[in-house]
Amino acid sequence: MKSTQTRFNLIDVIIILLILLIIAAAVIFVVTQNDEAADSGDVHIEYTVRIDGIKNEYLTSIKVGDTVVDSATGKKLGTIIAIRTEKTKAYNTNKVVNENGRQTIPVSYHNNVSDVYVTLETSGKYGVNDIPTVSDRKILIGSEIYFKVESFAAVGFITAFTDTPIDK
Amino acid sequence: MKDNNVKIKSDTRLNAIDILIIVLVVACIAAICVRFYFTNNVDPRSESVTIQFSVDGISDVNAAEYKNGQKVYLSSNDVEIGYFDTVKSEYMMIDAIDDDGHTVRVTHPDKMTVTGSIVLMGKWTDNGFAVNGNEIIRLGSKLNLYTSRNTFTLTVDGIPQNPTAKPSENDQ
Repeated sequence: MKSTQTRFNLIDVIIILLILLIIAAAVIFVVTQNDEAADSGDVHIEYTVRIDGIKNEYLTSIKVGDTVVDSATGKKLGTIIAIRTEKTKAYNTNKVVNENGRQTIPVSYHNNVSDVYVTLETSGKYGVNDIPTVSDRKILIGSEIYFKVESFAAVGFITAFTDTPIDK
Repeated sequence: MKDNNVKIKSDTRLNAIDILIIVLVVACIAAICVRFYFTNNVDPRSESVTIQFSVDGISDVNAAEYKNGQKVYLSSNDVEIGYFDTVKSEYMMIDAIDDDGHTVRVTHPDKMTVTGSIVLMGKWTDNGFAVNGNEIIRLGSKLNLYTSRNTFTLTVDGIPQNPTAKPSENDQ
């Protein structure tokens, strides 16, 4: 009885080498691309998140010392070190007033709704273009923050930040 | 009787399938090399344009962060795309109803508008200026950008004429 011969020949070796070459080139390309975006260096960051229009009854849900996490990813965003509240403003576009030499609209204040400025501190990294990042979020004025503490969640945005490199 | 003169044939023959596979693999490698060559040798940011822009509805603290000469990056891919040429901030204009019931333009009590000119890098194409070589901008286009201090959505308010556009018959 004749057995089937499945020998490993020179052509097979060439094909395998070529395929390995392509895979290696692809890996090198991907790794090189990612190197540019790699985080570098540690940084101490303090930043303030503004959350608009919170009912006053929820204000006690946010406390100094609370850990804030990103409600989208669950990653830690920092620890609350300060809280400031302001009554939420209401703008009336059905009236015109003259104020400090310019025509504008009158402002009133809600009694039961507040804007909250929460200051967080944390350590992060300098990411691409030397932008400070915390848990993959760029810390920039205007950046949206998916804010979550134990019993409260909202979307806020950054109004101020400072970044100080940590000496090693 | 056994024939001792029969030659044993080699099993390492190059058949049509092998040749086809090798050709395909070599073609793939060649295609990748050509792609890299053209990607690396055609700079998508070899030209620049100065456009007029505005950023609306920001706080006075945020408005103060916009500075002349500040580098600007595209939010979508973090590429440095230009810099602010001139920057000016003023109270945002809004519509309001005056005592006579007329709609008038007045300033917002708090919100600011930043206006000015920004130099953007890209390429002129037949369809207009392509920021970073791939995002055509026109009047009213929105660009998501950031600097080392803030992130914002910029509106294109003015853009120079396309130098690559062919003159129409009416222009001649």
